[in-house]
Amino acid sequence: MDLVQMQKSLQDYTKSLFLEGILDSQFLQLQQLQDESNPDFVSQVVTLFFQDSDRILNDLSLSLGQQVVDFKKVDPHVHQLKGSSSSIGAQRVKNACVVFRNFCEQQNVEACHRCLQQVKQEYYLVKNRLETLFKLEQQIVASGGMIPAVELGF
Amino acid sequence: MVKVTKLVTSRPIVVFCVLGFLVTILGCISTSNWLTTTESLINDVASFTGDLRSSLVSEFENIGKFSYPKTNLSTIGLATVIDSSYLTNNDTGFTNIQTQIAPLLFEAYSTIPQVSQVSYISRDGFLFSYIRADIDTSVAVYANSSSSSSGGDYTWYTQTVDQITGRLNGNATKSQPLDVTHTDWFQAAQRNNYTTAFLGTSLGGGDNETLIQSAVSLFSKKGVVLLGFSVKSLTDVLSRLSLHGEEFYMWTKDGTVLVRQGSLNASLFISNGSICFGGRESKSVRSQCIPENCSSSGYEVEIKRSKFQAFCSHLEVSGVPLRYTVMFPNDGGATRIKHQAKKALYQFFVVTIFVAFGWPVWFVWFMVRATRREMHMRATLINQMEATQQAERKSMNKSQAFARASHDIRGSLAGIKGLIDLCRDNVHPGSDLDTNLKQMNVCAKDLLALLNSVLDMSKIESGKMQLDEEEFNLAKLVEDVIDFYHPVAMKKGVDVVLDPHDGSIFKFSNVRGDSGKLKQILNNLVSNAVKFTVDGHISIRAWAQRPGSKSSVVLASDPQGVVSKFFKCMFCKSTDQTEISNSIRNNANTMEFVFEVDDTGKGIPMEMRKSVFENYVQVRETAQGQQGTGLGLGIVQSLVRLMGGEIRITDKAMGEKGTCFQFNVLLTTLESPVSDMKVRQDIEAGGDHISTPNLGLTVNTSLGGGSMNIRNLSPRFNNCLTSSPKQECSRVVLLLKNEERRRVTEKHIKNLGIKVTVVEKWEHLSYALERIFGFSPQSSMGRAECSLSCPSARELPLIGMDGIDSRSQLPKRRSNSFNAVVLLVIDTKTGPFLELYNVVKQFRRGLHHGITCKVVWLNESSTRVSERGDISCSGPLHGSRLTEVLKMLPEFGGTGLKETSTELQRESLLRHSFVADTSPKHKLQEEGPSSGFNKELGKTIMAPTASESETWFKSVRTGRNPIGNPEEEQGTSMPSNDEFLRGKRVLVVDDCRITIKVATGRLTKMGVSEVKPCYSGKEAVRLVTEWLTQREQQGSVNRLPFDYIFMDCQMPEMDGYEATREIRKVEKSSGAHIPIIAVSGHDPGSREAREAIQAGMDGFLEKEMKQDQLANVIREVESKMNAQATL
Repeated sequence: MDLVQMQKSLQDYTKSLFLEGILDSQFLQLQQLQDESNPDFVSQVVTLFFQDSDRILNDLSLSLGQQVVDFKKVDPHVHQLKGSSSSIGAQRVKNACVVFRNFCEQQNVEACHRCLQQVKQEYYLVKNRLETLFKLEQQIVASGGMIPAVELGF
Repeated sequence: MVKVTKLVTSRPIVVFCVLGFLVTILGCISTSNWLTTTESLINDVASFTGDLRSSLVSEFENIGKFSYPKTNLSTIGLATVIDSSYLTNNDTGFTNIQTQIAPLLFEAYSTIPQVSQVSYISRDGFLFSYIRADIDTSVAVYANSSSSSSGGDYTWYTQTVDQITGRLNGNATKSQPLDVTHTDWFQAAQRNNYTTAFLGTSLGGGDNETLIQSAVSLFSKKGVVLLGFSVKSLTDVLSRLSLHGEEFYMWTKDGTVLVRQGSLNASLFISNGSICFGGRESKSVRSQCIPENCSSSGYEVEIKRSKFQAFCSHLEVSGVPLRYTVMFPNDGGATRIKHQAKKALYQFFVVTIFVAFGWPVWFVWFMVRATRREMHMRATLINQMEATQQAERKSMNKSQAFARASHDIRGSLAGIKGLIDLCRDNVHPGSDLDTNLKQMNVCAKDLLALLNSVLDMSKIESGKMQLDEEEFNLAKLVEDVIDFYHPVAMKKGVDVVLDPHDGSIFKFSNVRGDSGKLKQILNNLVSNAVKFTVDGHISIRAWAQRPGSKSSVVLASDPQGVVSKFFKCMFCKSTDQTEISNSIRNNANTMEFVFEVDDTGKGIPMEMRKSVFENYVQVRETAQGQQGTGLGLGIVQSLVRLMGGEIRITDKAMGEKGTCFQFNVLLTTLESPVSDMKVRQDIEAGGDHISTPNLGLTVNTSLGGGSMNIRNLSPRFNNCLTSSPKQECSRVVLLLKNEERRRVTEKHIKNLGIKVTVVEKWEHLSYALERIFGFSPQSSMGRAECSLSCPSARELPLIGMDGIDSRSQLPKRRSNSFNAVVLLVIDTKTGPFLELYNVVKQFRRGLHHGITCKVVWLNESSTRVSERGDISCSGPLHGSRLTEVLKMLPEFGGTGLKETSTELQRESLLRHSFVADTSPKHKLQEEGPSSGFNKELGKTIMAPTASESETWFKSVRTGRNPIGNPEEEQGTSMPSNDEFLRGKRVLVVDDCRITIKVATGRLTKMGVSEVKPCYSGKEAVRLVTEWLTQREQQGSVNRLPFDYIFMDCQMPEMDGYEATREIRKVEKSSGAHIPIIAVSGHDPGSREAREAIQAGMDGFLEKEMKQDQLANVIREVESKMNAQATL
């Protein structure tokens, strides 16, 4: 594929992520933090996010799956997930977590299950998209191109 | 009632039975009662009836016994008389009878009562008899031949008789003879000379009626005397007895029925001496016979289907035995009553049963129905309540969702604004894109403001509004607000004037409170005032006072309700707010600030004054052509109350136009009001300089304007300034267009102790100048000096002369340090510029050498002024600008002495005016998180974000006015954000690896040399403890292990607050203090943030760790640390 075209598609793709509200400005800030001294910063952070989130979601499923749900266990997990998602700018995951926490406070098991599903859904969505994004970037790098700077003015 | 209903409904059958039982019992009791009554009644009636019957019977007997008792005797008497006459003459022939016996007979006939036949019948058959044939006719029947002798020729003759004499008259007619001598009764009488009585027909006469006859044989047995009485008369008597439906029968033994009386139409016969009813032969009707002996108790007979009680007895009338029977109908008297009673009883029973069953059934049914209805109503009510609750919940959720959404929108808007700013950085300034972006920014801001007002409303509604306390400069704030609206108002020709009143607002200008909300209040009120004022002015008065006494007086202007209203508004808020305001009240540093926004607009009608503070209310008449939601004043009122104050519309004096809003708020001042001592110390220590770093000048650079403030000096100090009579005084001449501004400015300058002359019209300017300074364009110079050095010689009123006593405190050494200055402040709008300029030029020329004249032109383009060597000021002349202008006076450290410095002076003011021109917009934009920091740095001059021009300005100022100290000047070279944290070492504590990673990235970018990640609170505590012990062992090292610790608040095991507390505990022994900055997902104003500060953290940062926020927080923390270190 033409390098320019790839760069263009990467740009469009990134834009779409913001437009769909999957990511927010925090992700841009992350990208700004990435420079020559720290070239893989974003992917490192995101990978960490994936690892943590997989674990947290797993724990959450276990906790909520129990006969008697211990909300004291559930809440910190959700909080953590919320914190980490907001750190990388995964906006929709974060929002889902906010709702989740509300229901945790109400100790509404049924709603919590729903929220967990919602959070999972959002998480897999953002994971999917980000992986695609990184793949695109890698392709560009592999073909010797530069990753275009993200435009702010969309 | 409810219980009864419930009971009835739950067991209807039981209740029904119980009720039925009760009613039945009641019925039975009354029935038995009734029965006994009836019984006794019946008995009574029966006894009466019995009496009646017996009396009736006795009546019969009486009649029988006493009506005809003497007939026998009469007969016997007559027989005796005839006997005696017979004895005397022995002749028994008819002639003898006719002559001797007949008169006797007649005598008897006419004397014996009721007799209807008197006869003498001899044994031979001779007969002579008087018979009453009619009432007034009597006949005689006689037989003049013997029946035995003449064998067959026995004839009876009937002849009428003279009623009086008894003699026979008329013709004798033959009548059928009867063989009297051979009848039973004749034989019976003859046989034993015995009387006998019998019933028989009369011997003659008309109709042969039945007579009761009594026969007595003569003693000689020659004949028989016979008296007869009419049966009819007896029956007539009996008939005359009143019989009440009874049947009465009388008959003789041989079966002749004498009396038959009654309604009964039955056939009857006499058999065997007793009476029988019914056909004798008929088989269908059984005959009923009444037995002989039935006198004592009645005998029941049934005749023709009606029952009778029969009583029978014997009766002897004139010796004739008779029988009679009286039958009482059974359905009369007691029996009838009995019957009727029985019937009534049945009816009664029926009714009772009906009632006994009907009524409970009705009752139960009614109750059940009532209960059912009630249940239905309750169910409806419950449904309704549920619906209401649901609606409330929905509404609550909606408002929450709304607030959340608004929050999000605000976030997005903030993002847009940030992006616009970012874009503008990359855009060539002045290009179209830049303009567009600017406009976009304005639009976004408007949107944000709108959203904020809605959000405020919902916050207030949900009671979540809280005060965001921070330190700020109140005077500055007020001035900013006015400056912001000044240009808009000036466009309409309305001046907006800041009236410092007694200047107390400057004295306590550094306060702690919610500047944003105060600004919102003022903005709202001033913008309203500007909106509704067409001409005239708007003045904003502000002053401070001790809370309590005076404030309540101010508020209590409408007599009865205000105190209570005040309390009400205190209590209607949530309790903790009340506590807050109470604590504010009780705090010694709390001052009450009263603000008045006074316009000359249309005003608000009296009746609308209360309702304008309600939401969504606009005054119709004045709202024409104006926009707005009508939320403004409602929010304002809520905010004012939140700050512990009250807002109201004060009454203006008669004839004055417009509205005056007055409100008060409680704020904590940062300096104590009794700082006079300190002031004096400062003065003495300050040497040549009146204005000290602490008191005199405050440069608040954060707001971008670089505006300066002279805080109001204490009154005593003011007096000092004007105290020396020998000193040449400066004078200010004001030529201002707006009357209110003239008044306010004059008063303010007077309060400062400077002499003021106010000129109202430009034409009067030269005249005024001449009068003051003894100068006219044509006159000599000499007089000017004279007048200046001895100002009191003139008739002009001089200010400050009354304070002579206190003047001695003025340091004398200052007296020669400066020359008097004449400051002309001229508003070019008052007249043509050139003319004015000429007047000024003339004046300048004529001045004495020692007197400096300075001119400040208002509202004139700077170029035009500056080329003439003067100063221009285009902002409204009040507050900081006025202070700035006044600072040119030597009394305030102005540099008037050397001509060389005027250039600089001018330039600085020029600079200032330029900045003032553009400042309002910047001020709003830059009212950001940085302000807190800057206010903290209030006493230092420099702003870290100072732009180049400001830095330049500062260096000019500080070059001449040695206000700042060396340390502060270092501030000018504040590093940019990128290099902000160069070489620092930071500990980041968070359980989330990602957050640490991001924070590390960011901090590294900002120049941090070492970021130590730490994944739990415990570990952080351990690290710090370790290091501290190390340091103690090594002893000398005074460097902190980390310059900052970023601490996540919510962590498992040990959260941020606890970790902080632990660290602080550990630190205590060593005396170190590592700045800890809380990192949390919550808002900076939230409860968590306060908790963090309480836990001992120094700053608070949002989780996103935005670069500028990070920088601000670090600065804030730094300044705090410095402040502590210097203390």
